[in-house]
Amino acid sequence: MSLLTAAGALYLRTVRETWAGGTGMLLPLTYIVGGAALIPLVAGDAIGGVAELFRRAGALSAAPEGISNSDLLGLIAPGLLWFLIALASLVTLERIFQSDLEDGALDDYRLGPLPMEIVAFIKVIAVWSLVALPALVMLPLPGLFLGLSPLDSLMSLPAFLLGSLAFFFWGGVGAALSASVRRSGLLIAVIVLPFYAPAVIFGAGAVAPLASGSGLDTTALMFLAAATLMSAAIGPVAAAQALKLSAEG
Amino acid sequence: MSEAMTDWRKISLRAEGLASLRGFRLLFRDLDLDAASGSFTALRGPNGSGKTTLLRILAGLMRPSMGELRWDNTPDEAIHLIGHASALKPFETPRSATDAFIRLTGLKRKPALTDALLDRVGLGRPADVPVRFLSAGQKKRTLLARLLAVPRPVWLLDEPFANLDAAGRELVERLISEQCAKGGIVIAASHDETGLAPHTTIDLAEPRSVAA
Amino acid sequence: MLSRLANPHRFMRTSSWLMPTLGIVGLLMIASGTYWALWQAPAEKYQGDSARIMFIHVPAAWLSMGGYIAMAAAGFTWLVWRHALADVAARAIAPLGAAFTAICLATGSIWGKPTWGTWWEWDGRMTSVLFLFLLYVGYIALRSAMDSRESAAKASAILALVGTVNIPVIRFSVDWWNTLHQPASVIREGGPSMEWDFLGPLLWNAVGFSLLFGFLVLLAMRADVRERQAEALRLKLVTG
Repeated sequence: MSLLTAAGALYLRTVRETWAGGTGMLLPLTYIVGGAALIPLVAGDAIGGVAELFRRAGALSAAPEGISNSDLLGLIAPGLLWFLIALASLVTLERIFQSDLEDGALDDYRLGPLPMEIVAFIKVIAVWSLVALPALVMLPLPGLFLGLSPLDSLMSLPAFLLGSLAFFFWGGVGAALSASVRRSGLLIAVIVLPFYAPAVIFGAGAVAPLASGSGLDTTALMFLAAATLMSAAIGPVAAAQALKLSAEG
Repeated sequence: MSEAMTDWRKISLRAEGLASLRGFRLLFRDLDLDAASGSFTALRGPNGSGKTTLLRILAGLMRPSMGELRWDNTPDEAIHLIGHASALKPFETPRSATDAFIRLTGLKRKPALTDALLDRVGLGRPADVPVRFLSAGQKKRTLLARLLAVPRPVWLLDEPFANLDAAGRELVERLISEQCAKGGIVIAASHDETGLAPHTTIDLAEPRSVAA
Repeated sequence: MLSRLANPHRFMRTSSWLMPTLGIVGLLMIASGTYWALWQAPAEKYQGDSARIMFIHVPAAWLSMGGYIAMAAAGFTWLVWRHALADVAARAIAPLGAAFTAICLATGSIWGKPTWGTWWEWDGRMTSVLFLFLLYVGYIALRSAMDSRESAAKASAILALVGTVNIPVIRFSVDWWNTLHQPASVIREGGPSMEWDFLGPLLWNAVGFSLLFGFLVLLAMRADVRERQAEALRLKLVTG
């Protein structure tokens, strides 16, 4: 009897479940790339307005007069990418536990050899590896639309890797808590968004210096890593508890 | 899981004073249940009388509102629960679902063995048909396949005869007999009277244990 | 079992006198404290009279924070001991805590206008309170989405506990962000030093508001208990 076999089987099954619908990875990838492409088109003059907002809120304290729209876009771009990835996590996690609850697979897992915490962990990692990981690999492409040089995109990968993991672990908690609720997408978002905040703050902070040519902010990156570790430790435990309780009806 | 069959001879279940309050509905109270190795217990009662809840409590998936449950000499992961839900993913086939279940238990799959037991449950031909094209009876048989694929001493069956034709029902009866002969414990909730005589019947409309 | 849920006698007996006591004393303290704060206490050195709103803002902040912790503690108690009153308490605190958080945000914004020049600044404290408000809203939303009291209690207890763990992290991250972006603009509570002139009415008001909070929580809890008792009676009628 091998726990590894069981873990691998669960991972594959979850991947196939998330993939099923025919389009597989195409959907999340298109979302990231397409979303990133939409923003400059939609923004136009709005970029100036948004930049003004950020300036007033102190986010762009150093933005001088006469800065071009594309430069502004470059300053905001990483933030928008964070937003897209956070949103992607919320959308793809919605059914992750709900389908198992409905079709009885959750009971199978509970009666099986893997602890529920591991089950939750694996399921989240499975969806992340199908949705977020390919998007990260392709990051230079949406980054290009948003005015980031490919080098910048690649350098920002560690931050997006860690941040996206945090999003998915917390999103998993929300999905587990609302597994018994129909159409829980909005509910999940409302529940977990505050938990996303530290990852977003540290992640965006880590990536911010790239715009001005310096490397990543390593302090921010370390805080991000800590926040992600915390989400990886607490998220599956909380999700497991929620799943056990939701299966009780 | 390499439990020798003989280990099953010592297993037993003892439940005392079980009660279940779901929301504000009192499903049953003061329910006692004793099941020893090789026994077949039938749960009877109308819909909504708490048969499913009792099975889930015995499976350890729910907590009883009152009462105690004790399993003796049972290995880890000793329970098969076959419920209403199909536990089958739409993209799976009987073969892949059975293999997946085997691997989820941590065991290595053996294709020849899977073939044999799919044949046994009457899914030889539709073994590779996706679940969404299967009839309810075929889905049920796929679930039955897992009972054979992974040996576990305790079978908790919720309406095992539902959706099955006469041949299917006979199959279930045979499987139950064999499991009891091996020393397993079978507890089944069912509307139907079957050819198989249970050792004990518990009627949830009046939840006191009645010996057959 | 049914009786365990439906007869929290001791609580009802105690709260029948405790609740009005808290309410009356609380209101008196608030009334006197408001007078003290608005007329007796001197104007703040730098901000003038506008700083007086601190006497509502700060107690509201304390209650919003304390409320969430109390809610999480109640959830924890319920998870471990399944004491029905614990869930009743958590359910009662949630909207009240959220309301006080909103009051904190509103008064903070009102305070901010003369102080910063804008209605909102991403100040460390205010941002954290905003997230606290979101946590409350998420909690209430989750509760409402659940079908039964039982599942609502379970899910919300887990959420409250996870939220509590996250509050220091969120606070830390926002403060860190602030050190990068807002080096100077920080709300200084009560001015350069907390002299008795400010501390006095502040604490007095804080206690008053806390008592009022307690009064409101007990009020909500009693209503909830009665509601559950009514449900139990209705059930008895139906099932016989």
